[in-house]
Amino acid sequence: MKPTYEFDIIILGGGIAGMTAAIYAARANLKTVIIEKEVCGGLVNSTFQVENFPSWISINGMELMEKVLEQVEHLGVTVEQVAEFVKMELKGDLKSVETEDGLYTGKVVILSTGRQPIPLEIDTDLEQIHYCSICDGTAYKDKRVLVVGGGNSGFDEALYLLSLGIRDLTLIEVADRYFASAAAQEMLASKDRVTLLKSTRIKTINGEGRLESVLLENVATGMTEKLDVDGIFVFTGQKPNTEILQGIIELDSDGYIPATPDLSTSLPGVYAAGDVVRKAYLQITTAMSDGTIAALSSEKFLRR
Amino acid sequence: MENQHIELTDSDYKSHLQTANGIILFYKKICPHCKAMKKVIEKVAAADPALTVMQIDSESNPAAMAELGVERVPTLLLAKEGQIIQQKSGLMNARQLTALVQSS
Repeated sequence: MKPTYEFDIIILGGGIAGMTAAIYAARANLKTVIIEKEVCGGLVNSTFQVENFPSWISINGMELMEKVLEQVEHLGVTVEQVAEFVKMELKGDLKSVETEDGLYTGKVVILSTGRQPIPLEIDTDLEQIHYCSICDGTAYKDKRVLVVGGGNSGFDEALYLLSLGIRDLTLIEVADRYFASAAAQEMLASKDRVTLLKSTRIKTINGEGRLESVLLENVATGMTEKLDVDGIFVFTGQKPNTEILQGIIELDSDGYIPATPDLSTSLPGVYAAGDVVRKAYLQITTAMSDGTIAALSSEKFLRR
Repeated sequence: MENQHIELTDSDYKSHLQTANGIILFYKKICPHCKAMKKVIEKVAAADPALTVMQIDSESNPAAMAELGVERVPTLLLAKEGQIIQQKSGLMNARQLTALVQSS
């Protein structure tokens, strides 16, 4: 039989939203646990340089998240990392979350499960398709890389890959414009060894046991061109991590949680925070705001 | 009995591997999946005190990485009596790692 642990607040997901909520909850003397599937930090962990977080001109994302985690643990929050969810019950006054290692009960649950990268649409078994340049970029020193995605992540990660000594880098975006900040676009365009292609998508991926080339298609003209590459890095956006919440809580058609201004969800005592919430801007600072509001709303709910 | 945890380097990994039994993790310091993999290994090792855990910082030790054909991190190698019998790249959960260790 699994051990049972009782808390006031269970926070599902240890990204910046969940950790901020934990800080507020702990400071309100609420017994709090964070249950995280991987390690705390969420998507920020995969950001090489964070430059929009007030207080730091520039800081590595994982380093920043470790500082936040240190603060969370200092406040006495229980943090369960690499915890695999089994099931949860969010209705009723006492909610429960079961992992492979234990059963956690609480009067309030904050859902801050974040987002994950959208995989490449083309199905392939080749291993040279990557979603984390920090993890996998080193192997491509002096090699040719294709970056897919013209948003901030695509441009920022392309700049990081170049810093590793990539020989040639091509960045493609299927839309007819790039979505990255003007600063990032200017920075990447100024580099040697870089080709930027708008209105372009991968039509086929080619290689026997190992990636050799891709066939690129201009979606405006239909023209195709073969590009020899050694690796592909995909940054085409994220989708909400709400599969485990399907049928349990109200989600919108894209899987986001439609929360109210106090971040209540469709179930009493269940709040949402961070990138899983349907909203206009998904940033570190807006996730922190959500974490704050969700924790204060939770406190008000518990003390009602 | 407690797990043995050994940090390997380019200069000593060969001597350790000659008789190695256990897990060898290639990692990078600022790699989130590596951090998660270390946590998973900690969890699995806690339930198996006889399991030896070795790890190599791939950035500081490129020779070991090249010699053992490791291209990305995290990559986990399973060694039995000095032979590498399994190599897996990417993140695994505790259940998957336990199954891998037990199958060897």
